[in-house]
Amino acid sequence: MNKPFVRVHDVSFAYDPAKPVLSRVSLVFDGPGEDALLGPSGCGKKTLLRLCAGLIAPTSGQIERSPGPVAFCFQEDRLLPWYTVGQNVALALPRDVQRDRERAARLAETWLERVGLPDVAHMYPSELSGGMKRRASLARALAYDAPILMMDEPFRALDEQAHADMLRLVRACAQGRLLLLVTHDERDSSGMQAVRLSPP
Amino acid sequence: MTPSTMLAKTLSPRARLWLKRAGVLFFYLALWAVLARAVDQPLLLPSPTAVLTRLVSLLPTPQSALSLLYTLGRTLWAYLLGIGAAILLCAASCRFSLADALISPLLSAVRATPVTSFIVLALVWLSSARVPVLTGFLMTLPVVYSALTGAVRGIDPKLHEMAKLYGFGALGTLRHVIVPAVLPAFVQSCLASIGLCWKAVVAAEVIGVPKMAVGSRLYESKIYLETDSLLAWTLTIVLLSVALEALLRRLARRVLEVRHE
Repeated sequence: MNKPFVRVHDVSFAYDPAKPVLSRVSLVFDGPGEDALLGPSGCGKKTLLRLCAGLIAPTSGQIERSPGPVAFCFQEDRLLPWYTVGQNVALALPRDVQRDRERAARLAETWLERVGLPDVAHMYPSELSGGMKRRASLARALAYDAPILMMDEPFRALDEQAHADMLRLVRACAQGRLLLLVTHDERDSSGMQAVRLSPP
Repeated sequence: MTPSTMLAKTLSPRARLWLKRAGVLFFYLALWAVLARAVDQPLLLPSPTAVLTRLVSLLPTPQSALSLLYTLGRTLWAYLLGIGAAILLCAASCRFSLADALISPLLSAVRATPVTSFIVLALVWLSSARVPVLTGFLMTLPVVYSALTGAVRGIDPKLHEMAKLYGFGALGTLRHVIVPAVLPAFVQSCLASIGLCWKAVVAAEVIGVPKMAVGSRLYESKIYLETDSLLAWTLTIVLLSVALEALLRRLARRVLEVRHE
């Protein structure tokens, strides 16, 4: 398998031309590996991650990414409210697995168990607490078979123990992949390559 | 404890509901009977018994049965055409801003125009049997269209981003995001427009008087001053409308259940 990478060349971005969010940023994330994007609020961490995922286009500059999909864990849960938690996770599984409904359901349950939610597959997102939704959203991102894993503050709303458990799980699942983690918590970046951004 | 309280306690909630409905129906029938007796002129207000007797004698005739079938057929045809066109136009409007600029004001104008204006105008262009279909279609289309476009535009863009990143593709996004998100509004608009469509079709039949139509039978009853027949047909229209709505409501419940499967 080709090594996953994201290369940011001289990228600038602004929602409002008078207030640039990123100004001439150049970075290279060569995988497999773990990179943490750190910095104060408003420094453009989230925007950089969205640019790297291709969700928005840079105002100037270029972003190169290795071919293949990106598993993205959003800051919000973004679970489909009309599907059960198990169905939400199953939608991230490969297409051929999804065709076999029973197998997909079993795999989704396994992923939910791994994030500490053993009995919620049949429940709807509205029936879960904030922390449980967060973990279900993490399970979906981890279940998605992609060489690049991007996570936007994935441990928000989790208690200390769950935070530590989920960080361990994410790092285990990121083996052989490229992990880009946006976080406010310096402890999350321990052992990772840390990229500190500052406001432009 | 009175016998009525005891009876109410032993009945299931469903049975109590039906008993209540029967009570309401009985109240209005009694009020009607009292008024008919007070007026004492069958030409102005026939008694419920006279109307029911007329209804029983009217319905089994081939002409009445055919009239009912034709009106029902026109309504369903107009309704399905209206829903189909609303889906297509909504897709065009949500995809292309030019289509939206062309379609939305036109349908707003259709919605604001009195139904009789359409009927009279359409009678100039079409045969009297086709005018009810066009009228029903024009009543259904804007209601379903505006509900659908509102629902599609109301979908959280974050869900579209999620669908894009998780590789749903266009069909997957339609199946897993758009359709389930708009389904409640769509079903509600379909339920709301069936009554409108039915009434518009009958109104167009009354004005256009096609050969086989409930509206034409209503018109004839009026011309020949057969008030009992007029009320018997009106009752038939109301009962059919209620039955259609009940059927659709049941179907809607099933469709909304499927959304979660």
